[in-house]
Amino acid sequence: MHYMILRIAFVLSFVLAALAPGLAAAAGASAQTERIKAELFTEHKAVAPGETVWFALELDIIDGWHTYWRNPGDSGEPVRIAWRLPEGWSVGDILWPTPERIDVGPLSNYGHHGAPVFLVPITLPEDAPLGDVPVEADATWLVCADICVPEDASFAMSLPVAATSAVDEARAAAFQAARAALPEPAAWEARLHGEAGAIVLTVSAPTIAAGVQSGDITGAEFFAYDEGLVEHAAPQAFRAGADGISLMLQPGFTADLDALAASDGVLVLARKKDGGPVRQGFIVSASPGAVAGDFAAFAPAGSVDHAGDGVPAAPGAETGVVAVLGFLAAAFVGGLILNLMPCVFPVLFVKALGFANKAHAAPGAVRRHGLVFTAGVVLSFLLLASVFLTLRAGGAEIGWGFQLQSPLVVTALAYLFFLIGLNLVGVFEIGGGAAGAGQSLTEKGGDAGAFFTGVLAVIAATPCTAPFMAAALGFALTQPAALALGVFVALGLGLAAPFLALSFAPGLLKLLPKPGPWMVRLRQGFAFPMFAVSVWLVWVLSRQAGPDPTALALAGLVALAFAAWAFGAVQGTNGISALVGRGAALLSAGLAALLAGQVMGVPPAVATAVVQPPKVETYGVVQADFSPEKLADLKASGTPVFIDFTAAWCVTCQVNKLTVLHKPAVLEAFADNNVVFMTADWTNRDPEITAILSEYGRAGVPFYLFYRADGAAEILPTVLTQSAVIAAVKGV
Amino acid sequence: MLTRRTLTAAGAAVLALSLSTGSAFAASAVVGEAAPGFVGDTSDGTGVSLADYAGKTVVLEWTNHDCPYVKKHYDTGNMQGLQTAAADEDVVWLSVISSAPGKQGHVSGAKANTLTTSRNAAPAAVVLDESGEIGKLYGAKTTPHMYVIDGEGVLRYAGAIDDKRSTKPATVEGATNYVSLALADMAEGRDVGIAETAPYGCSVKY
Repeated sequence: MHYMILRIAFVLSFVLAALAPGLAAAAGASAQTERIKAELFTEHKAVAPGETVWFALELDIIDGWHTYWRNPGDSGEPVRIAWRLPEGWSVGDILWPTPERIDVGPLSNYGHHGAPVFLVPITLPEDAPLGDVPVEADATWLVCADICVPEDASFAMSLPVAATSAVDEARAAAFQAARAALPEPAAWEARLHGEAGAIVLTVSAPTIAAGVQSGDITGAEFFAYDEGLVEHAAPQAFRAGADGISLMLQPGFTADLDALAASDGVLVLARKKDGGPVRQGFIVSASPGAVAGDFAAFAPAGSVDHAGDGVPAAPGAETGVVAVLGFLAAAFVGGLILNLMPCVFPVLFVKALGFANKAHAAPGAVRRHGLVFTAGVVLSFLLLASVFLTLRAGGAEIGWGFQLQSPLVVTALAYLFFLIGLNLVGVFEIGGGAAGAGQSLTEKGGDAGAFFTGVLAVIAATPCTAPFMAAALGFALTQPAALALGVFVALGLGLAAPFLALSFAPGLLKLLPKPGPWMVRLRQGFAFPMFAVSVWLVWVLSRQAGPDPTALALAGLVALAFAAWAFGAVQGTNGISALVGRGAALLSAGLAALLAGQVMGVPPAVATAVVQPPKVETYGVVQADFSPEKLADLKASGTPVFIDFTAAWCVTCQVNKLTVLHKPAVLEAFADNNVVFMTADWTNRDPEITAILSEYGRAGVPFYLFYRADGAAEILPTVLTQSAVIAAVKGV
Repeated sequence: MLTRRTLTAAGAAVLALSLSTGSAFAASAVVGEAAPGFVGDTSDGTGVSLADYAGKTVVLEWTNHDCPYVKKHYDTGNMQGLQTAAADEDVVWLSVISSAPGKQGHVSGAKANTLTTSRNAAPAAVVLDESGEIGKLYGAKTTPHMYVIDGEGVLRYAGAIDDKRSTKPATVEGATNYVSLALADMAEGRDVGIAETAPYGCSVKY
């Protein structure tokens, strides 16, 4: 019974408080609304004239509801306080706690959960009379969960003005906690500039706090004060380097990318501490421009949606040096793996076998050979990377594999692989002798031969490794040029390493079976992968340029075969027949070159690319070609879209198509979930596709992107699996 | 062959990329450009297509009758006044409800009609956009969120209804109404002076 009365009394008091919020404040300065317990209090129990006293408004919000920050984001309204103070008293701006991003469907708000405390400084005039002074305030706020309710409360309290001020010890802890929740003013240099349709915010912050390097940061998000500067719901791609942090922000409606104004906001950083993520806010003032320095070494092409997620950005990086060494080491390992690529392996393996005969005879020459070969590999990589980086820096909308977007280059590569195949089969030999490449080791021409074997290895590696290189370059693009080139040097060293190791430790060759006829057979056998690569390149050409240039290129291959045969037939002979043979070879090779030149005469964008077996349609999957407008329309209408970024010259793309994207289970998943299958064909140059690839930090294909019905994007692995696609589509 | 496995290893070795990203709420409605066309259901069951109003000025009003900001404008008669004035000038006023089923503000056609009658509202039609398709097409973020499209189909204004971000009825009087300003500019053949503002209100309940 007693309990019931208490309960009724409690409910009654609650209802009364809700109906007349201000009444409850009479005794102290607190108020109770339906969703919030509000309290207004001061840091001092007495304050002297001319001094500043801090007021705190604490809103203790029920679970699941939130109030808003100074910039409320896509909707909502910030907390407001209207003061009634004696004449001459002045009120400063509210100090806002560090905000959090609160997603509401496709929209995002900036606000506060829990019990945020808003601090306000009030300064008394020098001539404020002593005595108890009434202070009144009306606060209004919007409190929201999935729905919003405007609430308000009035506060009345009296503040003693005395000759000397006195801190209210009882409130000290509350003020300490409130100040800890505020963003810290940061002295870092921050800059904003427009780049590729985005706002890039760079912040020079080598040391965030004592003992914390920018590389320890696992997430970052910028909360602009200005409502129109940033699209609040857009993800903010974040990178961290030795010198600070950079963020890619999607511009809001007031942002003029060509003339960005200075802008203030709170940069929220997340870092790992004691195993858990810690969020910390910093007030930054960004002026137009960019800050020079390393802002990307620790978080390769990463993107963190929320600063609070604590997504690890750096692979265990403690300091800048360690991180850089880590990347270089990884690139070296990547280069080692390139040796196993089907385009590269035969070339190098056959070359290595040449050692088996000669190594013991002239170890010094073999070592020299290995070093020169390494130089050839590394310089080729550097050259290719420099050309690429220079073109990119010059604004060209290209990505890795750009070489293969030219029909002439594709034709030349088809010729090259065909010639390598003919050479391996034994139609002709390079260098004078029939014993293979090892023959010329001790000769004067050995250096050039070794160097160009290195160059050849890099060229041969290109078509097989475009996807892999695209990922590496996407990363390298985010680096300062020196580090980017360093990555390529490491890649080159990795590619050259096995060969170099053999040249310095010929004893390793003893692990191989004894030299013998098997070596000739193996060498001839390796010709066939070369022919296969050549056939594939001709197919790429047929997709790029159409049937006529393809026929020209095939005729060129015949001429080339004739040239090789005529050259090989008279190799090592002299006299009239040799002259006739070489002359015929030269003419024929010239004819091949002429035909290749004709291929180039055809504009590259004649035909398009990609394998699209009719069975895709039989599953009822809606298909579309990529265009930014079409994509925007589909996203706006809430249609899920799967984008296949592909190119005819991309091997991995074709493998993924055959083994994953065209499998019944995947097609059924697309059809069942009404996913539009969009093809972004990058066989030929396409600035719009390059642009969206860059948006996601990629420099090439394959790349797979899935936009869910709610507009959120998911990036699928380059090496695709059926289960990954199905899981993404079904939203598992 | 080796390709797939080695690619996996190479990719992992070099980059250890873990990319997870989301997309923005990117609307295709841009002030100064053609307003995106749409077709929608209406509370009276006749349906509506933006294309039907070629040659006429069209106002789009995102609404949710339970939202306190919307209530402010209806309880004070402000919204109805704008609607009536628009109708007098042969301006087509479409109220759009993008609340998803089960969310605040979602109504049947009959309920929408009752709301129109009981509130003395005067829209040309109430568009029922429960899929949120039209709302996302226009990037509607709040209720109210206002758009003005001219006779050529060009979006001339997008943003808040006025400059008073508040639920207090007292703030209606004396507010600068951006929709009225835009319509006045357009009627005089001028460029719209304030063509884009940050909308305020409740979030659209997609």
